[in-house]
Amino acid sequence: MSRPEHEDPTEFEFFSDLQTRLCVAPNENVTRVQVARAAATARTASVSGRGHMWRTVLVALCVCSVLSTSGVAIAGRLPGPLQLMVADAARLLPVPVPIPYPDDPSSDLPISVAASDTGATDEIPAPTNPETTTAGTVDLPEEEMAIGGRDGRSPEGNAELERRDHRYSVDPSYETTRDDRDFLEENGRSERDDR
Amino acid sequence: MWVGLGPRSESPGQTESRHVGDTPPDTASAPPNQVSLQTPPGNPEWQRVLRSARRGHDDAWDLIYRWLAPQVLGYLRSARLGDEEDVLGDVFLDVARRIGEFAGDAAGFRAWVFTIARARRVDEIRRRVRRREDRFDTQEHEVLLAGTDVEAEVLGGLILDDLLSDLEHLTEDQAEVLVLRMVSDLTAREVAEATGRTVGSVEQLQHRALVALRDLLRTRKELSGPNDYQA
Repeated sequence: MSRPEHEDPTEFEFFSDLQTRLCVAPNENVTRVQVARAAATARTASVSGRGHMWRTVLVALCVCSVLSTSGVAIAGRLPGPLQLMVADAARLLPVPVPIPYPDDPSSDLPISVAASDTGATDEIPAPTNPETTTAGTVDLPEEEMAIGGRDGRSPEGNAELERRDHRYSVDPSYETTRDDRDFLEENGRSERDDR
Repeated sequence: MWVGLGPRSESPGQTESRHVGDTPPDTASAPPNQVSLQTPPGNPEWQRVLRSARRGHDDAWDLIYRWLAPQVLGYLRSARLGDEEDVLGDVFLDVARRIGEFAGDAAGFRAWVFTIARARRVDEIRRRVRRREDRFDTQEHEVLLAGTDVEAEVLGGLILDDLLSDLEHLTEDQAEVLVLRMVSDLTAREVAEATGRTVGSVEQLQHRALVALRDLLRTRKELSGPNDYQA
Protein backbone atom coordinates (compact mmCIF):
# COMPACT_ATOMS: atom_id res chain seq x y z
CA MET A 1 0.00 0.00 0.00
CA SER A 2 1.49 3.35 -0.96
CA ARG A 3 1.65 6.29 1.32
CA PRO A 4 -1.74 7.97 1.43
CA GLU A 5 -2.41 11.09 -0.51
CA HIS A 6 -3.18 14.16 1.54
CA GLU A 7 -6.13 15.74 -0.23
CA ASP A 8 -6.97 17.83 2.78
CA PRO A 9 -4.40 20.59 3.29
CA THR A 10 -4.99 20.42 7.01
CA GLU A 11 -4.01 16.79 7.08
CA PHE A 12 -1.01 17.47 4.89
CA GLU A 13 0.15 20.30 7.10
CA PHE A 14 -0.39 18.17 10.19
CA PHE A 15 1.99 15.46 9.06
CA SER A 16 4.42 17.88 7.51
CA ASP A 17 4.66 19.84 10.71
CA LEU A 18 4.84 16.69 12.82
CA GLN A 19 7.70 15.32 10.78
CA THR A 20 9.52 18.64 10.79
CA ARG A 21 9.36 18.96 14.54
CA LEU A 22 9.98 15.33 15.47
CA CYS A 23 12.71 14.27 13.05
CA VAL A 24 15.44 16.63 14.14
CA ALA A 25 19.02 15.43 14.01
CA PRO A 26 21.01 15.58 17.25
CA ASN A 27 23.47 18.44 17.41
CA GLU A 28 26.90 17.91 15.95
CA ASN A 29 28.67 17.25 19.25
CA VAL A 30 26.18 14.56 20.21
CA THR A 31 26.47 13.06 16.74
CA ARG A 32 30.27 12.84 16.90
CA VAL A 33 30.19 11.24 20.34
CA GLN A 34 27.56 8.68 19.44
CA VAL A 35 29.24 7.81 16.15
CA ALA A 36 32.56 7.26 17.93
CA ARG A 37 30.92 5.09 20.59
CA ALA A 38 29.09 3.00 18.01
CA ALA A 39 32.23 2.49 15.93
CA ALA A 40 34.26 1.50 19.00
CA THR A 41 31.55 -0.91 20.11
CA ALA A 42 31.46 -2.51 16.67
CA ARG A 43 35.26 -2.91 16.72
CA THR A 44 35.14 -4.57 20.14
CA ALA A 45 32.34 -6.89 19.07
CA SER A 46 34.28 -7.80 15.93
CA VAL A 47 37.51 -8.55 17.82
CA SER A 48 35.81 -10.61 20.52
CA GLY A 49 33.98 -12.55 17.84
CA ARG A 50 37.23 -13.27 16.01
CA GLY A 51 38.93 -14.12 19.32
CA HIS A 52 36.23 -16.65 20.09
CA MET A 53 36.67 -18.17 16.66
CA TRP A 54 40.43 -18.52 17.08
CA ARG A 55 40.03 -20.04 20.52
CA THR A 56 37.64 -22.60 19.06
CA VAL A 57 40.11 -23.41 16.28
CA LEU A 58 42.93 -23.78 18.81
CA VAL A 59 40.94 -26.17 20.99
CA ALA A 60 39.97 -28.20 17.92
CA LEU A 61 43.62 -28.42 16.87
CA CYS A 62 44.61 -29.58 20.33
CA VAL A 63 41.96 -32.26 20.29
CA CYS A 64 42.99 -33.40 16.83
CA SER A 65 46.61 -33.58 17.88
CA VAL A 66 45.65 -35.80 20.80
CA LEU A 67 43.62 -38.03 18.54
CA SER A 68 46.44 -38.45 16.06
CA THR A 69 48.65 -41.54 16.10
CA SER A 70 51.48 -39.75 17.79
CA GLY A 71 48.98 -38.41 20.24
CA VAL A 72 48.06 -41.95 21.24
CA ALA A 73 51.70 -42.70 21.93
CA ILE A 74 52.03 -39.54 23.94
CA ALA A 75 48.86 -40.38 25.85
CA GLY A 76 50.41 -43.72 26.80
CA ARG A 77 53.31 -41.88 28.42
CA LEU A 78 51.15 -39.59 30.51
CA PRO A 79 50.96 -39.99 34.28
CA GLY A 80 48.32 -42.43 35.40
CA PRO A 81 45.50 -40.05 36.39
CA LEU A 82 45.98 -37.90 33.29
CA GLN A 83 46.12 -40.93 31.04
CA LEU A 84 42.94 -42.15 32.67
CA MET A 85 41.19 -38.86 31.88
CA VAL A 86 42.32 -38.90 28.28
CA ALA A 87 41.31 -42.54 27.85
CA ASP A 88 37.85 -41.86 29.29
CA ALA A 89 37.41 -38.89 26.99
CA ALA A 90 38.55 -40.90 23.99
CA ARG A 91 35.92 -43.55 24.71
CA LEU A 92 33.18 -40.94 24.32
CA LEU A 93 34.23 -40.04 20.79
CA PRO A 94 32.27 -41.43 17.87
CA VAL A 95 35.51 -42.49 16.22
CA PRO A 96 37.31 -45.19 18.24
CA VAL A 97 40.69 -44.07 19.44
CA PRO A 98 42.82 -46.67 21.21
CA ILE A 99 43.96 -44.64 24.17
CA PRO A 100 45.02 -47.26 26.71
CA TYR A 101 44.11 -47.11 30.34
CA PRO A 102 47.08 -46.88 32.70
CA ASP A 103 46.42 -50.22 34.41
CA ASP A 104 45.20 -52.03 31.32
CA PRO A 105 47.56 -54.92 30.64
CA SER A 106 46.04 -55.48 27.21
CA SER A 107 47.41 -52.24 25.84
CA ASP A 108 48.35 -51.77 22.22
CA LEU A 109 51.64 -50.38 23.37
CA PRO A 110 54.65 -52.61 23.83
CA ILE A 111 54.58 -54.31 27.22
CA SER A 112 57.86 -52.71 28.25
CA VAL A 113 56.52 -49.23 27.56
CA ALA A 114 53.20 -49.90 29.26
CA ALA A 115 54.87 -51.36 32.28
CA SER A 116 57.61 -48.85 32.82
CA ASP A 117 56.09 -45.56 31.60
CA THR A 118 52.53 -45.82 32.81
CA GLY A 119 53.35 -46.89 36.29
CA ALA A 120 51.80 -50.32 35.94
CA THR A 121 53.29 -53.19 37.88
CA ASP A 122 55.88 -55.39 36.27
CA GLU A 123 53.83 -58.47 36.82
CA ILE A 124 51.00 -58.47 34.33
CA PRO A 125 48.57 -61.30 34.90
CA ALA A 126 48.06 -63.33 31.78
CA PRO A 127 44.49 -63.89 30.69
CA THR A 128 43.21 -67.29 31.80
CA ASN A 129 40.99 -67.73 28.81
CA PRO A 130 43.08 -68.78 25.81
CA GLU A 131 40.29 -67.50 23.59
CA THR A 132 40.80 -63.86 24.57
CA THR A 133 42.36 -61.63 21.96
CA THR A 134 45.82 -60.18 22.32
CA ALA A 135 44.30 -56.78 22.96
CA GLY A 136 42.72 -58.17 26.08
CA THR A 137 39.19 -56.95 25.43
CA VAL A 138 36.83 -59.86 25.37
CA ASP A 139 33.89 -59.70 23.02
CA LEU A 140 30.59 -60.75 24.41
CA PRO A 141 30.37 -64.10 22.67
CA GLU A 142 33.91 -64.97 23.84
CA GLU A 143 33.00 -63.82 27.34
CA GLU A 144 30.07 -66.12 27.35
CA MET A 145 32.25 -68.91 26.13
CA ALA A 146 34.88 -68.09 28.76
CA ILE A 147 32.44 -68.63 31.57
CA GLY A 148 30.63 -71.38 29.78
CA GLY A 149 27.71 -69.10 29.02
CA ARG A 150 24.91 -69.28 26.58
CA ASP A 151 26.79 -70.85 23.72
CA GLY A 152 28.38 -73.38 26.04
CA ARG A 153 24.98 -74.11 27.58
CA SER A 154 26.46 -74.33 31.04
CA PRO A 155 23.78 -73.74 33.69
CA GLU A 156 26.25 -72.00 35.96
CA GLY A 157 27.44 -69.81 33.15
CA ASN A 158 23.91 -68.93 32.10
CA ALA A 159 23.06 -68.09 35.67
CA GLU A 160 26.08 -65.84 35.93
CA LEU A 161 25.19 -64.06 32.69
CA GLU A 162 21.62 -63.62 33.76
CA ARG A 163 22.75 -62.22 37.07
CA ARG A 164 24.97 -59.72 35.32
CA ASP A 165 22.37 -58.72 32.73
CA HIS A 166 19.74 -58.33 35.39
CA ARG A 167 22.07 -56.32 37.55
CA TYR A 168 22.92 -53.79 34.88
CA SER A 169 19.44 -53.50 33.37
CA VAL A 170 17.54 -53.12 36.63
CA ASP A 171 19.90 -51.22 38.82
CA PRO A 172 22.28 -48.98 36.94
CA SER A 173 23.67 -47.65 40.21
CA TYR A 174 24.67 -51.13 41.27
CA GLU A 175 28.14 -51.11 42.66
CA THR A 176 30.45 -53.89 41.89
CA THR A 177 30.69 -56.27 44.82
CA ARG A 178 33.77 -58.05 46.06
CA ASP A 179 32.62 -61.26 44.35
CA ASP A 180 32.18 -59.40 41.09
CA ARG A 181 35.61 -57.84 41.33
CA ASP A 182 37.18 -61.21 42.05
CA PHE A 183 35.32 -62.69 39.11
CA LEU A 184 36.48 -59.93 36.80
CA GLU A 185 40.08 -60.07 38.00
CA GLU A 186 40.18 -63.79 37.45
CA ASN A 187 39.24 -63.21 33.86
CA GLY A 188 41.87 -60.53 33.41
CA ARG A 189 39.42 -57.64 32.94
CA SER A 190 38.71 -54.45 34.88
CA GLU A 191 35.44 -52.98 36.00
CA ARG A 192 35.58 -50.38 33.27
CA ASP A 193 35.82 -53.00 30.58
CA ASP A 194 32.85 -54.78 32.06
CA ARG A 195 30.71 -51.70 31.85
CA MET B 1 17.13 25.41 5.65
CA TRP B 2 14.44 22.92 4.81
CA VAL B 3 15.41 19.99 2.65
CA GLY B 4 12.38 17.91 1.80
CA LEU B 5 11.86 14.25 1.21
CA GLY B 6 12.71 12.59 -2.05
CA PRO B 7 10.01 10.68 -3.88
CA ARG B 8 8.85 7.72 -1.78
CA SER B 9 6.50 5.89 -4.07
CA GLU B 10 6.32 2.19 -3.27
CA SER B 11 4.90 1.33 -6.68
CA PRO B 12 7.02 2.16 -9.72
CA GLY B 13 5.39 4.64 -12.03
CA GLN B 14 2.88 5.81 -9.48
CA THR B 15 1.87 9.42 -9.80
CA GLU B 16 3.07 11.47 -6.91
CA SER B 17 0.51 13.66 -5.20
CA ARG B 18 1.11 15.89 -2.25
CA HIS B 19 3.18 14.14 0.34
CA VAL B 20 4.84 15.26 3.47
CA GLY B 21 7.94 17.22 2.63
CA ASP B 22 6.77 18.79 -0.60
CA THR B 23 6.19 22.24 0.91
CA PRO B 24 8.44 23.84 3.45
CA PRO B 25 6.78 24.72 6.73
CA ASP B 26 6.68 28.08 8.38
CA THR B 27 10.37 28.82 8.87
CA ALA B 28 9.80 31.18 11.76
CA SER B 29 8.93 28.33 14.04
CA ALA B 30 10.89 25.63 12.25
CA PRO B 31 13.35 23.92 14.57
CA PRO B 32 17.07 24.00 13.83
CA ASN B 33 19.04 20.98 12.61
CA GLN B 34 16.32 19.97 10.18
CA VAL B 35 17.68 17.36 7.83
CA SER B 36 16.34 15.30 5.01
CA LEU B 37 15.15 11.78 5.62
CA GLN B 38 17.50 10.31 3.12
CA THR B 39 16.57 7.39 0.97
CA PRO B 40 18.66 4.34 1.76
CA PRO B 41 21.85 3.81 -0.21
CA GLY B 42 21.77 1.46 -3.16
CA ASN B 43 22.62 -2.17 -2.61
CA PRO B 44 26.26 -2.34 -3.80
CA GLU B 45 27.15 0.77 -1.85
CA TRP B 46 25.19 -0.52 1.12
CA GLN B 47 27.11 -3.81 1.24
CA ARG B 48 30.38 -1.87 1.29
CA VAL B 49 29.08 0.32 4.11
CA LEU B 50 27.87 -2.72 6.04
CA ARG B 51 31.24 -4.46 5.79
CA SER B 52 33.02 -1.34 6.98
CA ALA B 53 30.58 -0.86 9.82
CA ARG B 54 31.12 -4.43 11.01
CA ARG B 55 34.83 -3.68 11.23
CA GLY B 56 34.10 -0.54 13.23
CA HIS B 57 35.10 2.11 10.70
CA ASP B 58 34.07 5.58 11.82
CA ASP B 59 33.05 6.82 8.39
CA ALA B 60 30.63 3.93 7.89
CA TRP B 61 29.02 4.58 11.26
CA ASP B 62 28.85 8.29 10.53
CA LEU B 63 26.93 7.52 7.35
CA ILE B 64 24.57 5.11 9.09
CA TYR B 65 23.98 7.47 12.00
CA ARG B 66 23.25 10.52 9.90
CA TRP B 67 20.94 8.48 7.68
CA LEU B 68 18.87 6.89 10.46
CA ALA B 69 19.24 9.00 13.61
CA PRO B 70 16.64 11.65 12.69
CA GLN B 71 14.03 9.03 11.83
CA VAL B 72 14.69 7.00 14.96
CA LEU B 73 14.78 10.13 17.08
CA GLY B 74 11.44 11.24 15.64
CA TYR B 75 9.95 7.88 16.52
CA LEU B 76 11.31 8.05 20.07
CA ARG B 77 10.21 11.65 20.57
CA SER B 78 6.65 10.75 19.57
CA ALA B 79 6.52 8.72 22.78
CA ARG B 80 7.55 11.80 24.83
CA LEU B 81 10.26 9.92 26.69
CA GLY B 82 12.02 13.09 27.78
CA ASP B 83 15.59 11.86 27.25
CA GLU B 84 15.26 10.68 23.69
CA GLU B 85 18.86 11.40 22.73
CA ASP B 86 20.15 9.09 25.46
CA VAL B 87 17.81 6.37 24.28
CA LEU B 88 18.95 7.04 20.71
CA GLY B 89 22.53 6.49 21.82
CA ASP B 90 21.55 3.21 23.47
CA VAL B 91 19.79 2.10 20.30
CA PHE B 92 22.89 2.68 18.21
CA LEU B 93 25.08 0.91 20.76
CA ASP B 94 22.79 -2.11 20.50
CA VAL B 95 22.98 -1.90 16.73
CA ALA B 96 26.79 -1.74 16.89
CA ARG B 97 27.01 -4.75 19.20
CA ARG B 98 24.74 -6.86 17.03
CA ILE B 99 25.61 -5.68 13.55
CA GLY B 100 27.45 -8.94 12.95
CA GLU B 101 24.09 -10.73 13.16
CA PHE B 102 22.50 -8.69 10.38
CA ALA B 103 22.55 -9.61 6.71
CA GLY B 104 20.43 -7.90 4.09
CA ASP B 105 19.78 -4.74 2.15
CA ALA B 106 19.47 -1.19 3.39
CA ALA B 107 15.69 -1.34 3.76
CA GLY B 108 15.98 -4.49 5.85
CA PHE B 109 18.65 -2.81 7.97
CA ARG B 110 16.41 0.16 8.63
CA ALA B 111 13.57 -2.16 9.68
CA TRP B 112 16.00 -4.04 11.94
CA VAL B 113 17.19 -0.80 13.57
CA PHE B 114 13.60 0.22 14.23
CA THR B 115 12.95 -3.18 15.80
CA ILE B 116 15.73 -2.41 18.27
CA ALA B 117 14.45 1.14 18.74
CA ARG B 118 10.96 -0.15 19.44
CA ALA B 119 12.23 -2.51 22.12
CA ARG B 120 14.19 0.32 23.74
CA ARG B 121 11.16 2.59 23.54
CA VAL B 122 8.97 0.05 25.30
CA ASP B 123 11.61 -0.52 27.99
CA GLU B 124 11.94 3.19 28.57
CA ILE B 125 8.19 3.70 28.82
CA ARG B 126 7.91 0.89 31.35
CA ARG B 127 10.84 2.25 33.31
CA ARG B 128 9.24 5.67 33.49
CA VAL B 129 5.90 4.22 34.55
CA ARG B 130 7.64 2.26 37.31
CA ARG B 131 9.49 5.35 38.50
CA ARG B 132 6.38 7.54 38.04
CA GLU B 133 8.44 10.39 36.65
CA ASP B 134 6.75 13.68 35.96
CA ARG B 135 6.37 14.51 32.29
CA PHE B 136 8.73 17.45 32.48
CA ASP B 137 10.10 18.62 29.22
CA THR B 138 13.81 18.54 29.98
CA GLN B 139 14.70 19.89 26.54
CA GLU B 140 12.68 23.00 27.15
CA HIS B 141 14.34 23.43 30.52
CA GLU B 142 17.84 23.09 29.05
CA VAL B 143 17.05 25.63 26.35
CA LEU B 144 16.02 28.12 28.99
CA LEU B 145 19.25 27.59 30.87
CA ALA B 146 21.38 27.79 27.71
CA GLY B 147 19.95 31.22 26.85
CA THR B 148 19.12 30.48 23.23
CA ASP B 149 16.07 31.77 21.40
CA VAL B 150 13.74 30.92 24.20
CA GLU B 151 10.56 32.20 22.65
CA ALA B 152 10.98 30.22 19.44
CA GLU B 153 11.93 27.06 21.27
CA VAL B 154 9.04 27.27 23.68
CA LEU B 155 6.61 28.03 20.88
CA GLY B 156 7.92 25.10 18.87
CA GLY B 157 7.60 22.89 21.90
CA LEU B 158 4.00 23.91 22.43
CA ILE B 159 3.13 23.27 18.80
CA LEU B 160 4.74 19.86 18.97
CA ASP B 161 2.86 19.18 22.15
CA ASP B 162 -0.41 19.97 20.39
CA LEU B 163 0.47 17.71 17.48
CA LEU B 164 1.36 14.82 19.76
CA SER B 165 -1.79 15.38 21.78
CA ASP B 166 -3.82 14.80 18.62
CA LEU B 167 -2.12 11.43 18.22
CA GLU B 168 -3.24 10.52 21.71
CA HIS B 169 -6.80 10.37 20.39
CA LEU B 170 -5.73 7.25 18.51
CA THR B 171 -4.97 3.87 19.99
CA GLU B 172 -1.35 3.17 20.85
CA ASP B 173 -0.95 0.77 17.92
CA GLN B 174 -2.56 3.19 15.46
CA ALA B 175 -0.39 6.09 16.62
CA GLU B 176 2.77 3.99 16.40
CA VAL B 177 2.03 2.81 12.87
CA LEU B 178 1.14 6.33 11.77
CA VAL B 179 4.37 7.76 13.18
CA LEU B 180 6.48 5.05 11.58
CA ARG B 181 4.76 5.46 8.21
CA MET B 182 4.20 9.20 7.99
CA VAL B 183 6.98 10.59 10.17
CA SER B 184 9.85 8.10 10.03
CA ASP B 185 9.02 7.34 6.42
CA LEU B 186 9.11 3.57 6.59
CA THR B 187 7.30 1.42 4.06
CA ALA B 188 4.45 -0.82 5.18
CA ARG B 189 6.72 -3.85 4.89
CA GLU B 190 9.39 -2.22 7.03
CA VAL B 191 6.82 -1.23 9.64
CA ALA B 192 5.54 -4.80 9.68
CA GLU B 193 9.05 -6.13 10.23
CA ALA B 194 9.85 -3.60 12.93
CA THR B 195 6.65 -4.13 14.89
CA GLY B 196 6.21 -7.86 14.36
CA ARG B 197 2.93 -7.49 12.49
CA THR B 198 1.73 -8.52 9.06
CA VAL B 199 1.61 -6.00 6.23
CA GLY B 200 -2.17 -6.32 6.16
CA SER B 201 -2.39 -5.50 9.82
CA VAL B 202 -0.19 -2.44 9.34
CA GLU B 203 -2.34 -1.19 6.45
CA GLN B 204 -5.49 -1.71 8.44
CA LEU B 205 -4.12 0.18 11.46
CA GLN B 206 -2.94 2.99 9.21
CA HIS B 207 -6.32 3.28 7.51
CA ARG B 208 -8.19 3.42 10.82
CA ALA B 209 -5.73 5.89 12.24
CA LEU B 210 -6.11 8.22 9.28
CA VAL B 211 -9.88 8.03 9.38
CA ALA B 212 -9.91 8.91 13.07
CA LEU B 213 -7.39 11.69 12.62
CA ARG B 214 -9.24 13.19 9.67
CA ASP B 215 -12.43 13.25 11.68
CA LEU B 216 -10.63 14.98 14.51
CA LEU B 217 -9.03 17.61 12.29
CA ARG B 218 -12.23 18.25 10.38
CA THR B 219 -14.20 18.71 13.58
CA ARG B 220 -11.61 21.05 15.01
CA LYS B 221 -11.50 23.05 11.81
CA GLU B 222 -15.25 23.45 11.81
CA LEU B 223 -15.23 24.55 15.41
CA SER B 224 -12.20 26.80 15.48
CA GLY B 225 -11.89 28.16 11.94
CA PRO B 226 -8.20 29.10 11.36
CA ASN B 227 -5.55 26.40 11.23
CA ASP B 228 -4.26 25.87 14.75
CA TYR B 229 -0.84 24.77 13.52
CA GLN B 230 0.17 28.05 12.08
CA ALA B 231 1.90 30.27 14.55
